[in-house]
Amino acid sequence: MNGAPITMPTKLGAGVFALALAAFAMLHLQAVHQTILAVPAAIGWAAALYAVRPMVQKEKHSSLYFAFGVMAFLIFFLHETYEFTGKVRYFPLIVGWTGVALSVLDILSLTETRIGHAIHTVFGGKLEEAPGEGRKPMREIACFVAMAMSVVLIWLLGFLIASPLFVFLWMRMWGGKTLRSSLYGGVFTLAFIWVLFEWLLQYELYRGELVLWLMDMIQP
Amino acid sequence: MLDSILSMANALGTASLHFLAFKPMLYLVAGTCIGLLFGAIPGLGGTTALALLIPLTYGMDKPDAIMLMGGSMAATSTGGSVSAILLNTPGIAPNAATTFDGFPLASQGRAGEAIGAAATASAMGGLIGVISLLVVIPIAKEIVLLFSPPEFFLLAVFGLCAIAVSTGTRLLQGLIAAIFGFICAFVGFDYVSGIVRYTYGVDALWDGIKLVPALIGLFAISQMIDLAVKGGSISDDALQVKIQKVTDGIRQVFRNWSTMLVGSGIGTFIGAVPGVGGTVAAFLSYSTQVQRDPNPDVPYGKGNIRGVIAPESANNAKDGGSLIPTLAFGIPGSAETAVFLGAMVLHGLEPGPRLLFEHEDVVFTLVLTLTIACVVATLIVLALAKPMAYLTLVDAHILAPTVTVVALVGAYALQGEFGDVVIAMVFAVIGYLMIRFDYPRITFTIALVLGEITERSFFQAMGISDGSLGIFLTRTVSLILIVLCIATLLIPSFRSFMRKRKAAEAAGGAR
Repeated sequence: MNGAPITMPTKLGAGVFALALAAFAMLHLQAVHQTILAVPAAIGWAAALYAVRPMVQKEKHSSLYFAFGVMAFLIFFLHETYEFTGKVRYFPLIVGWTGVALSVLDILSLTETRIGHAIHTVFGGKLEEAPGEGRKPMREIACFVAMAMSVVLIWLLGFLIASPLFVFLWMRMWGGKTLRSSLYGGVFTLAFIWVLFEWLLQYELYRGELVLWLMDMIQP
Repeated sequence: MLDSILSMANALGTASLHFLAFKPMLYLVAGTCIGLLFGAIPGLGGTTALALLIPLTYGMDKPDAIMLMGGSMAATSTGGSVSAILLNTPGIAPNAATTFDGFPLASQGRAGEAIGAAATASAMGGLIGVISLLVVIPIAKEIVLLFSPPEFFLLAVFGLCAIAVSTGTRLLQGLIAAIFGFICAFVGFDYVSGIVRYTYGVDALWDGIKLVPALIGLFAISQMIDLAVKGGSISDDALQVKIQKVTDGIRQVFRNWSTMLVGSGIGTFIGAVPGVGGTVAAFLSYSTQVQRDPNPDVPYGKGNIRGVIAPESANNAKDGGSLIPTLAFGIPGSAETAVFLGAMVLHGLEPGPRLLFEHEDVVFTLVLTLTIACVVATLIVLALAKPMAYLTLVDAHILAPTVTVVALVGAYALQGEFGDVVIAMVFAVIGYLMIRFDYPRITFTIALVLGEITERSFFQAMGISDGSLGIFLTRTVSLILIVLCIATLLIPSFRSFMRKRKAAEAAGGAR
C-alpha cells in the first residue's frame, strides 16, 4: 500500500469478497446451476468495488466504475455462456475467463498500491488521466438522449423527414444557431441524402412507421 | 514461375482496362477527394470515410467499389498532412509526427513549401509501398501455402497481440477491448456447432453482428458524439496562412531522396506487420531521420523540411505494406484495412490465399488504384490546400448532426433493415465509452473481424489433430508464430521494466 493505511471499508469489502469467493468456489464444485452462482458473484463484485474504491484517486473514480461495469458484463457473459454445452461454449469460455482476469488487472492498475504499480510496469496500465476525464456528465447524457432521439425520429418519420428535422432541431436548440442557418442545415442534409441515396444510388429509404400508417389511412 | 508471371501480366492487363473507362475513374477521383476531406478533418480519418463509403458501394461492380474505396484509403494520410501543417492538428494519428516540423515551417510563412514537400513525399512513399506490395504478391502465394488452420489460428492471435501492444501504454485496455470484440463476434449462428448463440430472440442477430453498421457506429458516430460533448469546432485557430512556394517543397523531396527512401522502407515494413500501423511507422521514420542527421542545418522541431518528408513518406508507404497481410492472409493490418476487408467480403471477395489465386485482377485493380490515387491526391492537395483546411473550422453543432444522420442512412442502406440503424447507434455508444475511458477501438475492431476466423481455425485444427493441442507445437510455422506472440507481448514489458530500472539507478546515483 506504499505506506498508506488500509481503511475500514477496504477491510470490510475484502472480507465479504473473500467469503463470496469461497461460496462461489464451493457452489461451483457442487456443479450447481449458473444462476445460483451469479448470487455470490454479484455479492463479490459489489464487495470488491466497496473495497477498492478508497484505494483509487478521486479523479479516477469514473474509470473505476467503468472498469467494474466491464467486469459485470463479463460475469454476465460467462453466466450466459454456461447455458451452452460442449464445443459451443468452449471458445467463449476461454475468452470470458481471460476477460475477467484482464479486468481484475485493469481494476488493480487503477489503485495506488504496489500491485497497481507493478501492473503499470508489466502492462503499461491506464494513463494517468483518461482523455474523457473531466467531461460534463450531463452534456454526455444530453448527447446520448439526442442520438437516441434521432433513432426514434427515424423509426417514426423515416429518413427523409427525420434527418432534416434532427439536424434543424440540433442546430437550433443545442447549437444556438439562427433559424435561417438551422433551416439551411436541414435542407442541405435532406438534399444530400435524397440526391445521393434515393436519386443517384436508387435506394428506397425507410419511410417511418407513422408515415406508413398515415399513408395507409389516406389510401387504404 | 513463368506461368505465375504470365498470369500476373494477364491480370494486370485486365485491371488496367478499368482505368480507361470514365465512370470507374470518376469513382477513383471521388474516393480520393473524400479520403482527402476525411483525412484533413481531425477525428474523422480514413476508417470513418471507409465506413461511410461501404454502403454506397453496395450496388456497384467490384472494380468500381475497389476504386472508390482504394482511392479514399490512399488519400487519407495525404489529406491529414494539410491540417497537421497548417493548424498543428494532425488529421489522423500518423500525421502527428508531421506537426513537429510542419507547423514551425507554416509559422515561418513556409506553409506552401511544407505542404508541397508533404504531398510529394506522400505520393512517393505511397508509390514505393505499392511497388513493394507488387513485388511481394508472387512470393506471398508460396508463403500462404505453408499456412493451414493451426497457423491461421496463431496468426490471428499474433495479429491481436501485435495490435494490443501497438496501443502503447494501453496494452491492458487493448486486450480487454479485444475480448469485447471477440464476444461480439460470437453473437449469431455458430458454424462449428450449428447453434445460435447470444441473440436473445432478436432475429436480426442470427447472422451475427453486421460489421458495417457496427463500424459506422464505432468510428463515425462515436466520433461525432465525442465532438458534440467537447463542443466548439474541430480546430479553433483562425487560418491566416499564405500558400506559396509549393514547388520548392516538391524539389526538396528529390533533393533529400535518401530521407524519402528510408522513410518509405520503414513505412512498408511496419505496415506489413499486422496492427502496428502508420503512427508507429511515421514516428519511427521521424526518429530514424533525427538519428541519421546529427548535425542538421536547421534543428529538428524548428522547421526542418526533412522532418516533414520522413514521416509523410512512411505513413503513405504503410498503405501498400498493410495490404500484404490483409490480402494474403485476410488479417487486417490496421483499423482502416479491417473496414476495407469488411467491404471486400461484402462484395463476395474473401481476402486470404484464395483471393490471390482466384481474383488476381482484383488485386491488381487495387494496386493500380493506390498508385493513381497517390498521384491524384497529391495534385489535389497542391491545388486545394487552403479551402480544405477551412473545413476544420466547421462548428461541432453543424458537423455532428449532419454526419450522424448521413451515417445512419448509410447503415440502413446496406441491407434495408432498420435493425442496422439500432446496431450502429449501440456501437456508437460503445465507441464513445471506449474513447471516454481510453480503451483502443482498433483492437475491438480487429477482434470483431477475426473472431469467427479464429474460432473456426481453432476447431479445424482440433479436428485435424483429434483434439490434441500438440498440433500447435509440432509445426515449424506454428512454433515461430507462438514465439512471435510471446515476444510481442513481452517486449514492451521488458522495455518498460528496463526504463524504470535505469531511472531507479539514476535516482540512486544522484543521491
